Amino acid sequence: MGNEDGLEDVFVAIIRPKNHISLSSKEYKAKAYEILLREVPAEGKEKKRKKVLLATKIPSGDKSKSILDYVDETMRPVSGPQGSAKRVVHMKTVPAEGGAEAASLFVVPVGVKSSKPVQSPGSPSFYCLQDIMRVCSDTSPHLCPTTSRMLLALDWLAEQHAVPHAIPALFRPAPVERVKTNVSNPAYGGDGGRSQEDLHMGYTALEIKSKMMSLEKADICVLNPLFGSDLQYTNRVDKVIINPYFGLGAPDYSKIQIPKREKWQHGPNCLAEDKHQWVDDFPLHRSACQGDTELLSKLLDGGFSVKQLDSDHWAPIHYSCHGKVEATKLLLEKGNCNPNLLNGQLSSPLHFAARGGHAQIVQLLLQHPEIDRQHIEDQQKRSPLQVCEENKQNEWEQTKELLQQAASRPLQYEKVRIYRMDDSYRSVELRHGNNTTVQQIMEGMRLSQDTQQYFTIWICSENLLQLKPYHKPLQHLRIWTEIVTDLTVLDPQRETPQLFLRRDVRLPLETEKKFQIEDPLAILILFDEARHFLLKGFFPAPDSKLITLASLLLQIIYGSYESKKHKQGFLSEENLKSIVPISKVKSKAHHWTSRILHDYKLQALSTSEGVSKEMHHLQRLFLQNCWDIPTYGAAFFTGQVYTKASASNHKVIRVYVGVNTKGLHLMNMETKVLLISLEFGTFMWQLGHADQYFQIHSGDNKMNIIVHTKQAGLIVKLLMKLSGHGTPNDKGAADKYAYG
Amino acid sequence: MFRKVKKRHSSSSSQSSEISTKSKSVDSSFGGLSRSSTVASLDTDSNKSSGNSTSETCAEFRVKYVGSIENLEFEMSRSLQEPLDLINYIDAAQQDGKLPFVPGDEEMILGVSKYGVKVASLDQCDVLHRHPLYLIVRMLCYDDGLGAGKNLLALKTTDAKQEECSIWVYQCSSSEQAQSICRVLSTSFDCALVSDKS
Repeated sequence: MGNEDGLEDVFVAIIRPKNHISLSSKEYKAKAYEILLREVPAEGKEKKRKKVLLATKIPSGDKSKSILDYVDETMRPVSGPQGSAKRVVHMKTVPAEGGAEAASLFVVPVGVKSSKPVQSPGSPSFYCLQDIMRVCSDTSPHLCPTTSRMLLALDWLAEQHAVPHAIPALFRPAPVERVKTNVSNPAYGGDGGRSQEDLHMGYTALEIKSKMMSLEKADICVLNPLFGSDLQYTNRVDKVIINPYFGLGAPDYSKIQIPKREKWQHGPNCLAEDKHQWVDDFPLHRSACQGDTELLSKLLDGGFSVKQLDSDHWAPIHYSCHGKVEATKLLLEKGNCNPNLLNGQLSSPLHFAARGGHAQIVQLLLQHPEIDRQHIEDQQKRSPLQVCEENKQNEWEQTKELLQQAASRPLQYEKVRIYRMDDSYRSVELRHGNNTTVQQIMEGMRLSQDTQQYFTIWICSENLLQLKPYHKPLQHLRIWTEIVTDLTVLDPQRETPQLFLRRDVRLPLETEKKFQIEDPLAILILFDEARHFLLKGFFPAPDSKLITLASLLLQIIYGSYESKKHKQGFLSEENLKSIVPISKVKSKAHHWTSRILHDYKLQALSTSEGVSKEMHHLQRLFLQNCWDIPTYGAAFFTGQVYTKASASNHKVIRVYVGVNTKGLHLMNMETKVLLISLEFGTFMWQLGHADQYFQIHSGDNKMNIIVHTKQAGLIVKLLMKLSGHGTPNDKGAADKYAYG
Repeated sequence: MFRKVKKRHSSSSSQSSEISTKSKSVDSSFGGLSRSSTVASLDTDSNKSSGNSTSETCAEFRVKYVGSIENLEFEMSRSLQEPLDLINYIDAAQQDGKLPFVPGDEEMILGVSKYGVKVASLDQCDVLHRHPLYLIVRMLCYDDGLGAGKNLLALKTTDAKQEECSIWVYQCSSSEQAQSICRVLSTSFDCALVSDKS
């Protein structure tokens, strides 16, 4: 019926709290509320009246507004304008049933009752909710059945009490009383029906919106290149300075004096000053750092050393490796800088370039013939590849590839030739490039442990220089001219250095005697060396000794004596050169031939009687004969001795200074005559001024000799080492090679 | 006030000077208000933000987040055109339990600039909401009516196609703060208009 005219039946439960306190109560008490009901005459009975809920019909659409209008109208006579409805809460919809229309129940909360209730007949009035609910049932004589059914739904109020804030919220003032400020965007002109002419500051809504949208567009977009790169944030401490006086208590201030200004030292922690100082003190470093190749080139011409370390113990190349390709190139090529140069923190240029991801520099370094690309590690034991991957800077991917390629490339080590005294050589791979040490080369020689102890690597040209095990021979080869200039008076240009495997000068003769060397190779090397020295005249010995040695050499070279083959004329001058010291060939040798041949014959007889003719036995026999020669196993140095030939003029004698485990020997350089031979314990020595000479003083014959040589420092060091050799404990001590 | 802004702007070319003009006008708009905590809080907030960047002027406020009703259908958004409808709708949603009556305890920073409204955590590391200026339809400030005098800030936004709308509710620390947020937003709308961009 109601639906036909488009109206909907609604029941409205207008509820108000009796007082304000009931709003804040958490417990639901029906008696705290009142409900507005209308009394109507009961059907058929004039006297009986029933109470009913307010009901009306509203059009579909904005139901809330219609209901509120209806409630306002109904309420006006009851409570006046102040108790106006606040909101409409939809409670439930009862479906159509038994001829009754579908109907909805709405709760409309209103304010607390006003002080003076107005009663007007016929109009609805408030009843205590508790009283009403008590009589509320379908068959209640006081209530209309529909009303009863609807009222049962008001248990909802009890539920609301359980929700914090819900009851105060239900009875809170209507929105219109609470709204304070409204800001609306001019881009949205209300319902859209606003006309185009309705301008805001001279713009239409559409224009405004497009202007606002344009603000959403970024001018610049900067992406963090490291985002998502998994880069580890490391917070490494570069330097720790601990106050050395901490914990020592309060100082005695009266004793503290401020040093004079001139004595102030620039500590490493006064950075600002340091920086300034650094710029002035290390122009080469700065130009490398800035990549100023012009200045760099000039400075290199001016003689600045590429090896110089600055206050942080960095060399120029460590700065240029931070992205300055040309500067690095210049340092390597023009400055002849060692590409493996380590800084004070043991980082190599390759580490720096790899860390920065400077692919070009890494390539430059890897192409350098002397680069050590296998074994180099920094203080944290990281390879350049690791450093590169940890930092991921610049072109790190390319850099990584280069480093991996270099690592995977078949190891083509640079080789160095280690010569033996017979001019044969063995090529040894330099697994550590330029940084290969003597010890590492020795290991590369693949000698047996036993054999190794007799030998070491010498770097030789006209001079001899033994190397310490931790020396890097390649680096010595590079600067050989400097060494030659420092230590000799020879023309450095004529001195081409080679590396030799030779008898270790500190090997005591007793050791060589005691241990029956059975290693043919060791004997061969020792023999070759002894023979070399013999023929060069470094073994001054009596004629008989030289003859014996010569005959032994004959047997070694030509085999056993055969009378038919080895006649008098067999020993030509040419042949003699290979068995007799060069100094004797001209002067004496041809007088010796018969004696040499005689000995040769004798040996042939003796050896035929059971003495082994094996080569290394013969060679050892030869060595045994050499052992009592005073200069056997000596390292030779050059020097000059001034003698007083007469009162008026000095004579300069150039001498060889031989030092071995026996003592010190002076030999005339031209005649190879042994001038003097002093055993340790019979003489004293003293190093002269500026290492330019040393003085020998022998107590026995009250002899004083001054030998002038640039190698005086080396000689004295060696003397000190070898003189202490009497105690066997000293042998094998860590610093046994401590000269050279 | 707007006229003044526009005039000043016409003489300035760079963006930063334009924004500084804006922030000036925001300040001057408080002339009418008693210089209470609102102004003080705005002052400290803007000091803080000016330290962060020079190109972006953003007024920041500490608010609490109540909740949101998102992606309401277009038909519904039409019926929420009037401010009172919006409040009514929020009230009803609260009553139905779709939206809490009171916010959580966590404070947030609500920043208002000519780029819109941004709500971020106190340390500004996490941005919770960002409402671009052109999608903001309305901002309402009203009393929550629960008796404690708390002020709610309701923000109605739409999507780029204007098919849906969302309602965001924040609680302000005071009535003054709520109203100054509204003022700054209002000024921001005007600033966007006088911007030289596009």
